[in-house]
Amino acid sequence: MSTPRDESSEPIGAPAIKPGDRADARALGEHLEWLDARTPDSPPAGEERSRWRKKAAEAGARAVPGRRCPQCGWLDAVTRKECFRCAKRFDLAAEALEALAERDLRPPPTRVVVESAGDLLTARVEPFRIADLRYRAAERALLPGFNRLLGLGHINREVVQDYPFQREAAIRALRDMGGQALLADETGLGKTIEAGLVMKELIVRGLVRSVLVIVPAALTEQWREELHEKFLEEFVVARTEKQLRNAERIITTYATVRSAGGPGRLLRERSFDLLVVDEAHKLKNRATQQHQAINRIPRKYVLLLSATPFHNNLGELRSLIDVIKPGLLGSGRTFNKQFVDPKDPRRPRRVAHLRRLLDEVMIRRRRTEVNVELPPRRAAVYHVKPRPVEQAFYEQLTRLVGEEIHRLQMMGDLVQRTAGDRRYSWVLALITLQREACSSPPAVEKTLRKLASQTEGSPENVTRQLGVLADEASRLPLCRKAAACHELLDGFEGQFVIFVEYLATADYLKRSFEGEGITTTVYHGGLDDVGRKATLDRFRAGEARVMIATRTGGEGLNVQFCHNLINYDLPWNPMSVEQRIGRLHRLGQEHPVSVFNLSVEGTVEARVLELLTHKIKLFTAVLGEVDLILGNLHSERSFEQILRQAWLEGTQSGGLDRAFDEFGHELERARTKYDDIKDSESKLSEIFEDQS
Amino acid sequence: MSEKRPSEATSATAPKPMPGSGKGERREREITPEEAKRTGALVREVLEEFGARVKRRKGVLEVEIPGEGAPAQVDEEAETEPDPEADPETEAEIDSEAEPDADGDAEPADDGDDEPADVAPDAEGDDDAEVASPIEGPPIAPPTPSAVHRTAGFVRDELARDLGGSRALKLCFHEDDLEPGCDLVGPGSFVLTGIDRFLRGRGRRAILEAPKKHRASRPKVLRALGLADADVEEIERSAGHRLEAFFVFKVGPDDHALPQELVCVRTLAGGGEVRVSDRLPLKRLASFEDRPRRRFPRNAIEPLWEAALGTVEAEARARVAPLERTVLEGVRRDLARVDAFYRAGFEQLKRGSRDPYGAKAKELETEMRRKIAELLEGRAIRVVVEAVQLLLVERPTTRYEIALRGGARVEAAIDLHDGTVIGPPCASCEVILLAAPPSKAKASSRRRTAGPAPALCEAGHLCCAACADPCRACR
Repeated sequence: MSTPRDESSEPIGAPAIKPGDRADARALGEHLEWLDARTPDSPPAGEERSRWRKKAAEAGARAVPGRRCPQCGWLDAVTRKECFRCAKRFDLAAEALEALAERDLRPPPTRVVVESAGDLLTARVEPFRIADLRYRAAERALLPGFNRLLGLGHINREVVQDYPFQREAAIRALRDMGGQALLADETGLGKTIEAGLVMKELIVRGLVRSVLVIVPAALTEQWREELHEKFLEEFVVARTEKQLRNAERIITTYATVRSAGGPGRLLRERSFDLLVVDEAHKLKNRATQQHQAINRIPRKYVLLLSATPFHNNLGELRSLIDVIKPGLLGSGRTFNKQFVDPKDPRRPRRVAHLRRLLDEVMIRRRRTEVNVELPPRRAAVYHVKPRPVEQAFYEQLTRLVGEEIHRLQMMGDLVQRTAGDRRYSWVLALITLQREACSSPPAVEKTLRKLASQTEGSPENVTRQLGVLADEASRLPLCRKAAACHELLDGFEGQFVIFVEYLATADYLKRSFEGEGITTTVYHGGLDDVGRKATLDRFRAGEARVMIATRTGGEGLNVQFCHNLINYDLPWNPMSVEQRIGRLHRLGQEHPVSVFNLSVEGTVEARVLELLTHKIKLFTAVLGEVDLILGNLHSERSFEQILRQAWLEGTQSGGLDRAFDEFGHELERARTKYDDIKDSESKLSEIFEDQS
Repeated sequence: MSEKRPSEATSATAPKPMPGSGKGERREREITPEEAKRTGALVREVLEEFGARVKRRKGVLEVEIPGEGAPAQVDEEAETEPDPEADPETEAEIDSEAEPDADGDAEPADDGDDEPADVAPDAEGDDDAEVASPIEGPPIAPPTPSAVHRTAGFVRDELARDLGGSRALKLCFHEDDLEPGCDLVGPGSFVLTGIDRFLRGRGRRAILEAPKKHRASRPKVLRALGLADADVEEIERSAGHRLEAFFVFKVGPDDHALPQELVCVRTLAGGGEVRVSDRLPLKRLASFEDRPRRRFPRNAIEPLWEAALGTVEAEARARVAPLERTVLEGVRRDLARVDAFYRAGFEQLKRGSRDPYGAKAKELETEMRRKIAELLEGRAIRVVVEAVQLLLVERPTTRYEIALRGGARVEAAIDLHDGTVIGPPCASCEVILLAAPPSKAKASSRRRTAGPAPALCEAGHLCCAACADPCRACR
């Protein structure tokens, strides 16, 4: 089998690929395109490289010197508390005092500051019973209630990879901030996990019952899935008044909250125990309807999440803090006077004082502080061309789908139809057909036959064509995509996880692999717990080289012992792709993770892959960037819905390329906007990072 | 502010069962029954004190905070069950003030036979004759009914605001009592945080009067001062008082690396050690007479405040000592990092520069020193001591002015609450001479209360025994 290799785009150090029939592959234009994979600490491309080099040099220069253990002679970093070899404990505190004494310096001072003294001596004298209540209330309020998280026993520990720093953040938010906090950790550190831990803790302790989560529209489904999968909490993505009135756990969007009409009004009249606001930098302007609407929602506990709580000026940060603790940073005028550099509204003054105030409500850590290190991940797109018979089939199917869309369009506007509309259901079925055609012959055949048997309301010739296409699908040879999988398995060593969207495709691939002697197992939603465990154990034990996982089967899967992944079918939700990769690229992974994506030229899936790869830069983004980018899309629909709409409009108008190009531009704009505001993260870090 | 809790439709929904939370299953509990009882009692008292209507049903409190203008009345019909939680303070307090012989044991009647023969008999008879204290504040005119209601209305509004904006609440204090529509009030609950916030500006000062438990007695005083055999010419007597102050502070590092704690510092005018404890002796103080109209001049309180401040500062430093160690470990790491960084810089200068130890090196050296100074400053621990409350206790005393033959005069007093005899300051070292109540006190307690034993020097100056020969006043 040919194994194409694109030497021009292959990075140094990529695994060797067996030579194959390169001439044919190259003639066809097939190639493996390695993407510019980037991790937080790896070099970026282009003009950033020199800046990164300088930073790396500084980081290297900051390497800690070593010392030999006086007991066993083991050489280790001077900052270790005990010897790695003989466990002799070092007294770092005493060493610090010695080091300071050598430089004629004193240790850091301990300053005692007395507050509220003056007015105590002149305070109004009240009856003792009031003083008694005052004292007992102060005592109760200081009771250590959140020294440990009871909620950890009530979350899905197989899926939630909670780091100690995340648990610490949750405890701090609960114990020290009274459940009212701004979670402002750097991108990728898992603010969602931290918010989930806080939420779960409050629920488990019976302190919270109703929860309202406000997120950008593109992230509603992601939040719902995460809260369900990881924290075992059922949330409703509420859009109707009935849902908003009755549900106790609600996810909604900014637009819904700020709407003047029914849903918005209802939300503002209801009170919630816990309010969670994601991408809270959208509240940066206190004068906006959005800020005022959300600030007015009565709640007992509130969590704001944002890695970039201010963009243009520090006053935006004050607007956010005012949602949690009004007046903590003073009025606008006093805040600007005290804490903002008059020459640069993003530069703080009196940093130590500002930091002390922010410490009361804000938790901010950087990746470098919390020692979260994962091996790098790299991604590639394997561009292949369909075989002529496949291409002919695909084009025939596409023509039929286009004609049907056009016919339905004559009957009324399709784009605005709701899910309950029968014609829209038919449209969704047609979209599914196209996607299945990109997957495998058995997947599309199954649906073609099913649709052909549903004759009601469809013209006879359409029913007949569907039947003909089903027969043709059954006669197709091994599809190019499946063959590409074989090539990847030949070219790269180790085990593979292959994600597919359709069970029929999973069976198809399994038969194909086993025909070539490749041991394969399938992990799908139809397995019970025992079956899933057995499948996973088999894969972990090395009894199968390949595990094919469907979408529902992939939930809750942890396979960090494997480091090769093929996105055979691509979900239209980038966060689903991110989550798939997260099954392998997680704590415990010891090797660089390779992510292969298959692009069959001329298919709708190839277009989607192009958007995800080059517009959002999904596979090369730093962890957590993607949802920030999607949050910048000016739409109330999810990414998948926007994509579906673009496909529909393109198919209707005969300009599919243009429709996808327009969407691609919108994604580029969202990304550019994200890049602009990312700079503000460094400004925030100035307030919090160590002076050295 | 919303007037009502979420609609009935939602409150009718039972909480969703969670894994491991079903009845009969073992489950970790965070709130002990005792804690629940104390919290429940506190919350109920606060709510009722400030005008809310509270109905108790099993383990649940149904609370209604009337709106402004509505008179704050106790709804007597609502009390259908006896309240077994009426006395929440069931556990014995550790009372640092408890003198074993001070509670309820009156001093035996003074035996006239012990009095020195040449002391004029007390024309007034018993030394315990009541003398009115001169300190009394102006009477406060009772407020008009409308003023009460208006003020009370504002207070209720504030209470409702601090409790999350709702005027109708259902509260329980233990997980077993949770039911639909109920808020569990436990550590970290918004109710406790809200009540603390509501009471922050209230109850900061109170004045009490300690009861008399001892009788004044000249012979006792003379004996205590070692003047039993002295040549006493005349003794004048007057009523007085002695201030005891309990200062409550909240102490903790401002970065919450350690939890905040309440620290109680007790100081006593006229000598006596300053004591620190973790709890106010509420039970003991509750037995004293409440005197909200009493006033004391500021200069009477300030010395007590200064003494307490010095003590609490020392206490605060002691409590953050574990944190200082952690900080030093961090300093060690920071110093190592800074050293490595600048060492590399120096080496680079040496290698590449034409002036290896010249101006550039000096500049780098200065920068390094500045960085280290910033680093150390950044690691400074800031401990915040917040003054929460002041409870003043007026202890009645009887003052004596003793004229000795030869001209020396000695001032002394007896604390009628604990029987301590308070002498004058030593003429030499100025330490207050104190004598503990005799006989029934434990030795440890007497040692704690007593100052240095008094003695007369040859010139008739009263000093501690160690300073008597010769005393500074004579020299």
